Amino acid sequence: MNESAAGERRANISFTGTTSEYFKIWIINLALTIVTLGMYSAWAKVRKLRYFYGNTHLEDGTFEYHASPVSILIGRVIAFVTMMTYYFTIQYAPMASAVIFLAVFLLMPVLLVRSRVFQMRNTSYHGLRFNFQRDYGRSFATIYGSALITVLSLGLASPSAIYMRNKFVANSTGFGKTLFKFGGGQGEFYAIFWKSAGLAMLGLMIFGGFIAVFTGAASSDPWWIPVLVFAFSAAISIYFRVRQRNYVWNTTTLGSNRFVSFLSVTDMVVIYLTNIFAIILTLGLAIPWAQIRLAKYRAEHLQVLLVDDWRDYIASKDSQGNALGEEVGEAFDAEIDIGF
Amino acid sequence: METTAAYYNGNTAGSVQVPVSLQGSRLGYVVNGQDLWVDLGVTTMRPPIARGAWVIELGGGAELHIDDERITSRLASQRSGFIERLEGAWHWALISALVAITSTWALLTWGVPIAAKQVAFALPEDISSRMREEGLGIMDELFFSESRLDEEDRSHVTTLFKKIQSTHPKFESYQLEFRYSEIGPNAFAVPGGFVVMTDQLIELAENEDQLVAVLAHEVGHLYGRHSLRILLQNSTTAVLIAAFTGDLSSITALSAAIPTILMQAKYSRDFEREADEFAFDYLDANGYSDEALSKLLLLLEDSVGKDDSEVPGRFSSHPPSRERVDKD
Repeated sequence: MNESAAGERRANISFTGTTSEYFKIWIINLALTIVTLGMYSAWAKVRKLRYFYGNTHLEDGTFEYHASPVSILIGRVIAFVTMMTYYFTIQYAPMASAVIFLAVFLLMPVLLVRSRVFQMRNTSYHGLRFNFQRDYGRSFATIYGSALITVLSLGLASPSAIYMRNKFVANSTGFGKTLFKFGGGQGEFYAIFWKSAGLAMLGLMIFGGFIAVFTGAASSDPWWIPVLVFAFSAAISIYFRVRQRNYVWNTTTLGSNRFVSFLSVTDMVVIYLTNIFAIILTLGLAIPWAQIRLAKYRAEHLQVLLVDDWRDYIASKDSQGNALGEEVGEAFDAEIDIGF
Repeated sequence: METTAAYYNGNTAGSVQVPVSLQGSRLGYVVNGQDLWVDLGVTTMRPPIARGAWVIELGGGAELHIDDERITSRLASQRSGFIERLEGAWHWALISALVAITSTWALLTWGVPIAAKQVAFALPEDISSRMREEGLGIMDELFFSESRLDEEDRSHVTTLFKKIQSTHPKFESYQLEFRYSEIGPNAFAVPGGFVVMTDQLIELAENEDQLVAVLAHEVGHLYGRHSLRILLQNSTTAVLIAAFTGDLSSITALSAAIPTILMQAKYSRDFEREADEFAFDYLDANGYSDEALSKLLLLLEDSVGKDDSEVPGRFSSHPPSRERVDKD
C-alpha cells in the first residue's frame, strides 16, 4: 500500500488460495457430486466460492460468499427439468419446445437481473453485502435494445450494445447502498472492436499463407491446423475481452474510490492456452491448478485507489432475504455478456 | 486466551479492532468500552474453508472476524465436521479420485444405458409415431428424392421385409419405404417404425441374403428403440459431464466436449453392434447365409472408398467393418 494522490491509498487485491488446498476441496466436491448424482453440486459450488472469496484480500478484509446450497439446488432442479423438457420436446413436440424456448428468451432480462441480485446479495466485504437493483424496466430496455441494435446493424454497432450492457450492470451494482458508477464512453469499445477485427484479418492472411505453403505438398490436412486455428481464435477473443475488462474497471468508480485493472493480453493468452493443454493432458486433474492460477493472476492485476472511509458505506435495507426465484436465474447461468 | 478481532456492526463497512478473550465456550469482546460476551455453543459461526478467519455472528448483523490461530484452531477442533475432515487429508483426496473415476465410468457405461432403456420402453408407442412423420419429412428434404426403382425390385424387397415382419407381432406396424439417395448407398431406421432402403443400396446388394441382412439390421434398430435411447443417452451424458466439469470457464470448457463426444460415439457403436447381433440371429434362424451382412458391409466400404483410418476408432459412430465381419 503506498500513497499516490492526496489522501488516496493504493490497495492491492491479493489471492492466497493454493493448489494443494484447493485440489483436495475440488476432488471431494467432484466425488460427492458424482456419488449423489449431481445433488451435491450445489454444496460444491458454495464451498468452492467460499474458498475463492475467502482467499481474496483487500486491505485488512477478505470477501465472503453466503449463498445457501439449498436455494442453489432448488434453482438447479428447476433449470434441469426445463432443459430436459426442452431437449426432449425438440424431437417429439416441436411446438412445446418452441414455447419453452420463447418463454426463457422473453424472460431473459428478468432472469439476468435475478441472477445478479442473487450473486451480489450473497457477496460481502467487511461484513457488508453487495447489492443489485431490481430494475426490470431498465433490464428489458438494455437487453432488448442492445440485441436490436446488434441485429439491425448486422453486428457493426455491437460495441454500442456492449457499452449499454456494461453501463447497466455497473450502475445497478452497489456496495451496501452506494452504487458503482460507470464513467466510460462508447468510443473505446469501437476501438477495441475494430482492433480485434484487424488482428483477426491480419492473422488470417499470415496463417492462411503459412498453412498453404506447408500443406501444399501434403495429401491430407495435418492435425495441427485445427489446433492452430483454435489457439489463434482464442487469442483474439481474449484480446477483445481483456481490453474491455481493463477499460470498464478503469472508468468505474465506487464513491470516490477508483480502480486500476492492468491485465496483460499476452499473459492471459498464455495462461488460458497452457491451462487447456494441461487439463487435457492430465484428463482433468489439472483443473484446480488452472483455476487457482487464473484467479491469482486476475486478483493481482486489480488495484483499488481508496479515498473513502469504509464507515461511509451503509447497509442497504432490502439486502437481506432472497426473493423467490432469484436462484432460478442463477441456475440458468444467466450471465449478462459484459466482456468477462 | 486473549487476542484482537475485527468487529463489524452490520450497518457500515467500517472495521474496528477489538480485544477478545476466550473462556470455555464464552467469547468476551469489548466494543465502545462496553464488556460484552457471546456463547459460542449457541451463536452461529461461519468457519472458513481450509484456512482463514472465523466469523462469529453477534445478532443484528454484527459480527466478529477472528483470524488468530490460537483461537481458531480451538474452534476448529470443536466444530470440525465430516466434510472438513475429508477436505483436510490427502488420503481422502486419493480415495475420492478413485471413487470419482470408477463411478463416472460405471455411470456412463452401465447406469446411463440401463436407465435410458427403461425409459425408452416405458414410453408409449404413439410418442414415436409423432417422431415418424417429422423424422422422415426432414430426411426427405435433406437427403432423398423419389425412388426410381422398378416394380419388380420393389415387390421383391417388400416380400423379404414382410417375412421378417411375420416373425414377431411387434414388427407388424413397421413400414418399408424406398428412396433415391443423394448421399450414396445406405439404409436407415427412422424412429417410429420406418425402414428406408435407398435405391443405391438395393443395386449394390449382390443377392437376396444381403438384402435380408440389411433389412434385419434396421428392424433390429427399430425393435430396440435405438434412436430414442441414443437421444436419451446423449442428452443425459452431456448434462452429467457438464455438471461434473461445470465450473470451467467457457474457453476451457472445450476440454469437457472431448469426453462427451467420445462417450456418444461409443453409445452409437454399441447400438450398431446390437443391431448386427439381431441381424445375425435372424439370418441364422431363417436359413440365410450368415456371412451376408459382412459381405455387404465390405461392398459398402468399397463403394464409398472409405478408409478405416480416416476417423480415429474412438470417435467413430460405427464399429470398424473388419471387426463386424470377423464376428461370425
